[in-house]
Parts: sequence; structure tokens; C-alpha cells
Amino acid sequence: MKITLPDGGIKEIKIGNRDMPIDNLLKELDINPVGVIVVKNDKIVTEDETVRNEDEIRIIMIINGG
Amino acid sequence: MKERYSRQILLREIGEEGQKKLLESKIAIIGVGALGSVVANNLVRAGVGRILIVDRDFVEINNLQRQMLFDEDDIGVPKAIAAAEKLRRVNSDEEIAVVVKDLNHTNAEKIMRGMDLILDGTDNMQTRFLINDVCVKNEITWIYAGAVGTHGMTMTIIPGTTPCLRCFLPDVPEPGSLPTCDTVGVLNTIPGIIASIESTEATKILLGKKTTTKAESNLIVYDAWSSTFENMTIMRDKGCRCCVKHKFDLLNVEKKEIITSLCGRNAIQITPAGAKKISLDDLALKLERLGDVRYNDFILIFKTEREEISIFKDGRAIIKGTDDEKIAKSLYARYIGV
Repeated sequence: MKITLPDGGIKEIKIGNRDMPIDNLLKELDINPVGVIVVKNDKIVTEDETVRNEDEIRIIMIINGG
Repeated sequence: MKERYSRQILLREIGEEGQKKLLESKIAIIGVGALGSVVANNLVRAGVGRILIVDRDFVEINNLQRQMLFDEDDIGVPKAIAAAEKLRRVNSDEEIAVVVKDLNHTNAEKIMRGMDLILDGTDNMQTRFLINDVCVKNEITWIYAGAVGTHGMTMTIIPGTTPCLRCFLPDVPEPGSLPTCDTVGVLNTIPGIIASIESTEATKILLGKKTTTKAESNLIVYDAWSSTFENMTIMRDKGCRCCVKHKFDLLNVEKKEIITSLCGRNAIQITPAGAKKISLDDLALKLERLGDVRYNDFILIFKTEREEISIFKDGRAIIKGTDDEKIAKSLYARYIGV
């Protein structure tokens, strides 16, 4: 699975033939889920969704400044 | 009237009927920093009839790089007051009102109720979640916007139709957990670009154009350094705590003194629990013996070697030089009194 991280870096991970809940994925990546938006195949999804190896994931941070 | 707005009345998307709608509209802009300045400027020029500007802060020299309504003469003046003065010179036909206060659970509903639209010009997520609670509860459309570094994002939230902020951000981020303009900087064109998109969406909403009828919305994300605009679809969360279950956590707070950490600024804001009315003349006399005092009709700035305290007439104070709440409270008690 290709993951684009909040800083623009790219990480490839393999999770076997299973569905992985997004909150577990974030834990594995050591990313605090609060304030983070997860984009799965160009759609923003909530943490209770799952991901699979073939999904393309982007993690972005909500923008705070103004 | 016709001459002032002639170039947009010519647009078939607006016309005379649309202009009339804009003139009859009533909006609130929460925060008049980099985003809010541009939104206010755009919408005052477009002829939005009644505008309320809410801001807790005052102009500082480091604001001038990007906060387009202010100049050097405004330093030390509350932003809402300085902005309103400029905007009245731009368009004297409009009703521009100001609130120089921290928007919090004690006043947010009163300030926002009855508005046609709320525009986000804030610089923190706590206030945005509060706006979200008030808007969902009172069915007021609002537009989220944020800008930091070289990128920004915006999204329209129509309660009952589109997702709300909590649909995709279930928890309020802790103060200090996200980058701010004070910690990572901001390219000065970014707030202008995002705020112009926000103003455009606002104009469409006020004209009655249905921006969406579906239970999904689009988060527009712009990155100046990679030159990319993206439109990301967000679906409504069927279990959303705010817009489905109607739990308004930010409104149901015990009414006591409010202490806010101003992220990245090494500053704490203290808003007293009850209404206070402070005489800045009297306070100046008291503090002049202890440090440097400057004040105007709205704010008193007191500086010692270690700390700087800005005090507003309603008793609110911003204490710079510490991010420790206890130290801030003790300085408040020492110099202002409880």
C-alpha cells in the first residue's frame, strides 16, 4: 500500500490479505489521529473505515492558521 | 448604488436581483486576521449589506506582512476596530458592526444567531469547533478556511445537508498540536487565495445558488509550492456526534473563567467569568509605577522586563512571555486583580 505522509514523504507497506482499520494504520505509522484527515483513493474517510493493500492512502493535516 | 456595483450587476450570475440579495444579507466574519481581512474586503466591496466583525486581538507589526487591511498606524489597535474603520472608507453605505471579544461558549450563540452566513477567519481549531456547534444547532451555513505555510484549505458546511466539521474530525485537536503561522510561518499570498475562494463561495450562497444538495461536500486544498488545487470529497458521517446526534460539546461547558493558550505565541489569554468593566485610565495610573504603559480607547499594553500584558476594557487579557497557565493567572491577579 502506498501512503503519502503529512510531510509529503512516501511510504510503502504491506498488510497481507486483510482489511486494516484506519486507526490501526495510524498507530502503526505513529501518527496522532487527532487533526489528521485520511484520504483513501481520493475520498476522505473516517477512522472506522478499513484499508487494503491495493488502496492509495494520503494523510494530511487539517489547517489551523488564519 | 447602480454605478458602484455596475460591473457585477452586468454579470448574468448576479444581475440587479442578485445585487439586491447581497445588499439585504447579514453575515459575521469571525477573526479578521489574514483570511478575515481579505474576506471582509471582498464582501464589503461586493455590497453585502450588514457585516459583523468579531476579533479578540490587536494589530502587531508581524501581522502587516499578510493582513491586508492594516498599516503601521494601526499597531496596538484592536483588529476589528481598525478593520471596520478601513472598510467604512471603502463602502460607507454598509452597516459594519464590531465585537472586540474572544468568541467563546458564553457569547457565541448570541453573536452568531440570526446571521445568513458565518465566515471563518480564525486561527485555531477550538474556535472552529465552537462555530461548528453553534451553526449546526442553529442551522446557519458556515465556511471553514485555513492557511499556513505554503498551503490552505476551505470547505462549505450547510447544516442538515453537507458533512459538518466533526464528520471528518471527530475530536478537537489539542492547542499546540498543529502547525500555526507563528510556528511554521506563512507565505503571504496563501491566505489571500484561500480567502478569495471563501468569499466566492460566500457570494454564491448569499445569492441563493445551491452549492450542493447532496450529503457530501468538497474540501478544496491548494498547495502553492506544488502548484496544485485539489477537490476532495467528504461524506457525511452517519454517526456524527454533532450533526447527527446533536451533542454540542463546545457549548455545554461549565461557565467559568476561560484560559486559552495562544498557540505558537508563548502567550495565554484569560477571559474573566463575569462581565467586567475596567477603566484603562485608572489601570494606567496604577501600572505606570511598575513598568511601561501604552494605551488607547480600547486596550492597554503593559510591559515589564519579563512580561507583556495586553488588557481590554472587558477584563480580558493576553499575557505574553509564558505558556504556563498558573503563571499567567498569577500575573493577572497581580497586575489587574481578580
